[in-house]
Amino acid sequence: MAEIELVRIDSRLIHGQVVTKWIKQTSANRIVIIDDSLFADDFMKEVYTMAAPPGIEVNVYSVDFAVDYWKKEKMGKGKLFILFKNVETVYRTIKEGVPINDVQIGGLGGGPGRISVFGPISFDEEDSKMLKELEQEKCHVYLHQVPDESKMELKKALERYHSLKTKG
Amino acid sequence: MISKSNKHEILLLTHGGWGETLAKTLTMIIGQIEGVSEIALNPSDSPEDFFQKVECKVKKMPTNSLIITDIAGGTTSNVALKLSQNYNINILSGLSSIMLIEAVMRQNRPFTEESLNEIKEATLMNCQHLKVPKSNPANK
Repeated sequence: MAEIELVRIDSRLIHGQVVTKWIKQTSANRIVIIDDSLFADDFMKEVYTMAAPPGIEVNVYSVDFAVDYWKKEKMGKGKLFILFKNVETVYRTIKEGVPINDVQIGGLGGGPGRISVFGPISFDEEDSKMLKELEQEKCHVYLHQVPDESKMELKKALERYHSLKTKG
Repeated sequence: MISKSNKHEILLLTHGGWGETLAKTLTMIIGQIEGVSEIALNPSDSPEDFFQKVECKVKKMPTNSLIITDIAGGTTSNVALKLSQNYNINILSGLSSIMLIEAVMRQNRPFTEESLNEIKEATLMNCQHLKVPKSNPANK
């Protein structure tokens, strides 16, 4: 059975902050990226595999594959650092049965309809609803970009989101 | 620092845009620099935004140009690699003053596998643990 060390939502997936900081904060030896579009893109899979530090295995799974692998073999072996590109994918993965108790949101880039709540982390309406639901189901969600800086609990981020939304 | 010339192009991709400052500062050492430009990765950029900005630039760059990124495994590098699927570009990671100097010195010719290797070796050689030997028997 694989152990889940850290679960992070980061639209950049494996990148500077992850490679230089977070990997060292955990004892993870396997990065698992769960993303349907990356799963179908062999070239980009190769790029992200190259992006990981030496000695760290990288696996890219679709949501269906990950859920099935968890149900059958608890995702194999090792200490996992699981990365998601967006809230919707983590939501689906949890709902379909992968037991994730903590979710770190590290980066969700801006865009139309998105409101920045904490540094480079932004939510849209769908994100805020899904995250709230996950938290109500006892999944701890927090916002944390890099280890040396402060983090924010989801409750506060949602308050900020709603107050900024009303201000328009 | 961007100007038209017959030099082969160098595009810097850095977190926050420190490559431009670096290029400006290097004119102190090697004089005027041409054909070097930069696209900064800003904290608010989504990877898609940044990819599009870089692709816009790379489209216009001649083949055998050079991209230098700051961190291997960082978004700057991942985006450059993603573009290498569709464009014929050379990529080095680990931007530093010496790497840029070495690259600028080779700008008169198209960048090749060989010249990239030379730049890489020169950059690695420049990284040393500097200390004066306590006693050097050769001086006695």
